[in-house]
Amino acid sequence: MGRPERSIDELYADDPARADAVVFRRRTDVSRRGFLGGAGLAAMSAAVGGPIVFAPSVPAGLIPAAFAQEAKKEAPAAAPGPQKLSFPGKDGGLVVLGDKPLVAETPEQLLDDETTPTAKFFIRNNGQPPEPTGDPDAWKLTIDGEVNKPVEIALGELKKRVQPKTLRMVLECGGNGRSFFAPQARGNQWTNGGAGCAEWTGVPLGDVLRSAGVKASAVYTANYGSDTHLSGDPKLVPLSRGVPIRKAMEQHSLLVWAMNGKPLESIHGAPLRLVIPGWPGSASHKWLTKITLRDKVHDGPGMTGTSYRVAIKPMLPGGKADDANFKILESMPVRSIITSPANGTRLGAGTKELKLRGGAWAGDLDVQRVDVSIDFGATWQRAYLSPTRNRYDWRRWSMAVALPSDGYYEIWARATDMANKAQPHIAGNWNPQGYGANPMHRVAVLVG
Amino acid sequence: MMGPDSAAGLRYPSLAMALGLVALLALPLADAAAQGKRVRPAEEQPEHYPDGPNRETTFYFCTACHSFRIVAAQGMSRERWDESLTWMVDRHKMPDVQGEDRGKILDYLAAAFPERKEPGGWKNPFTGK
Repeated sequence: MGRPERSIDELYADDPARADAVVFRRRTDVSRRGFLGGAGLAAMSAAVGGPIVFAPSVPAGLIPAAFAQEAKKEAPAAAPGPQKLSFPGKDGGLVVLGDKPLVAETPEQLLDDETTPTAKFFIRNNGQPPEPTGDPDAWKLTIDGEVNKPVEIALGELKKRVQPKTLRMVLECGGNGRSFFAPQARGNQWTNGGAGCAEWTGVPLGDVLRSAGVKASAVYTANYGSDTHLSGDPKLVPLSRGVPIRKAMEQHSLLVWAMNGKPLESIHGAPLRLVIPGWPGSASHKWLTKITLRDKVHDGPGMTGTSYRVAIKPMLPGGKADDANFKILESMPVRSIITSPANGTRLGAGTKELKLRGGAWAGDLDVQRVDVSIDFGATWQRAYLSPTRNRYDWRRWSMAVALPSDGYYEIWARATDMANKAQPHIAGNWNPQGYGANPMHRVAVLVG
Repeated sequence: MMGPDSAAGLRYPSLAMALGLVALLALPLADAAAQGKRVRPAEEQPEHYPDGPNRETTFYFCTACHSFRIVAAQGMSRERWDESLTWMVDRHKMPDVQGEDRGKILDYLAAAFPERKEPGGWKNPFTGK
């Protein structure tokens, strides 16, 4: 009584798994995807006017289109709730954090693939993406600054000159985990979904820099792309970050033109982008046009103040930042996610075992171990880690946990990196723009 | 037809209505799943956001550069909102705004999107808290 009426849209927006449970008694179980069973399947079938042949392959939280249209008519003109992405080639389960610039994250349960499909890969823009190029091979990259002979090379020429390599590597937004800070830190409120692990094809950046003759005076790169400033002012650069020469010269720092075996999509930086693994995604510039080697640390937009920086001396949460107390965020911190089951999963009464799957990564480092607790951290069990293909690949982890009884459980996952740093219980080292938050991922399940 | 779902229908009347309405339509679910169709939200309007003095002024000032969704996702004290405007001028070359206009914008932002008692991040999916 007195409970406000909620449209299906809002219900799904708040929590798809729970909405599934409410609407269809549909459970996202230990299987890879959500499935429909019993009364839920019958109800959903009736709703769409026929049997649902591919019920087992309908992901949890997906709203049948017919259903969604009706829901829209019902929805009041109120503040929009979490918005699902509608973008060509992208999965509709991604959550929009902002339209302009377009930013969308991948809910943890959609990161359940061994290799993150391009359709599920998160989107982060700082400016307005350029129009897709009609002739990728004619795209020009300039290398200048502290080099012996500046180079301008067409992508088509680059592809012919080198033997491409393909590496599966994590790319992660510098602000991933920001929403876990208290008080709230400024910026896109990422949960853990500003990350993915894809196969990137290209050539080591270092090889191309060397062809220009890197001077001893070069210390930092300055990366430029063809995206434009949101204000529309052509004189303004939306973002220009860089990395130290030592990082740029790593064999895994790539100039990339293909993702998951296909030419890069425009939203992911086609036709040419950087992938600087282990470091904030903003160092992996999209629509790359120029790299200037500098004789000092780059000071472009996104390099200074408190942007992509963390506090040296820990600051009072919510306090006023002193720029002098900030250093550039380099390697991303260790993180693990539970990709199955989804948060909010209901399991049938008497369920005695729960199979868990997830992913874990640690910036420049490998993951040493992943431990899981189902009793709020009182006891821990060690998960199995899959081997990595190459450096900067993520670890997939899995295990089965015994459930002593029906009831409410939280699954907590905690990864530890090779330097023995583990994920904390809460986001620490608060900073005003919210970098470096990596608390343990929590998933709640209800049994019976 | 609803069986055990009828209780949910009572708690969410609009939901039950939606179920009834879509039962009249016959759209194969597999198609919807394959195409990943979604409700496309309407363009942003000031009316989508908390009512209060200076809402329109603030809305149109902010959306000159970015969507208001990102504004509404923040929760900050007036002082930190003030710092954020300064930061946007420094970092993003926003045209500076001072005096009365700045005051109006800060008044709305601090009232509509104050520092939250409960931070974002994780919520219990079964209780919503």
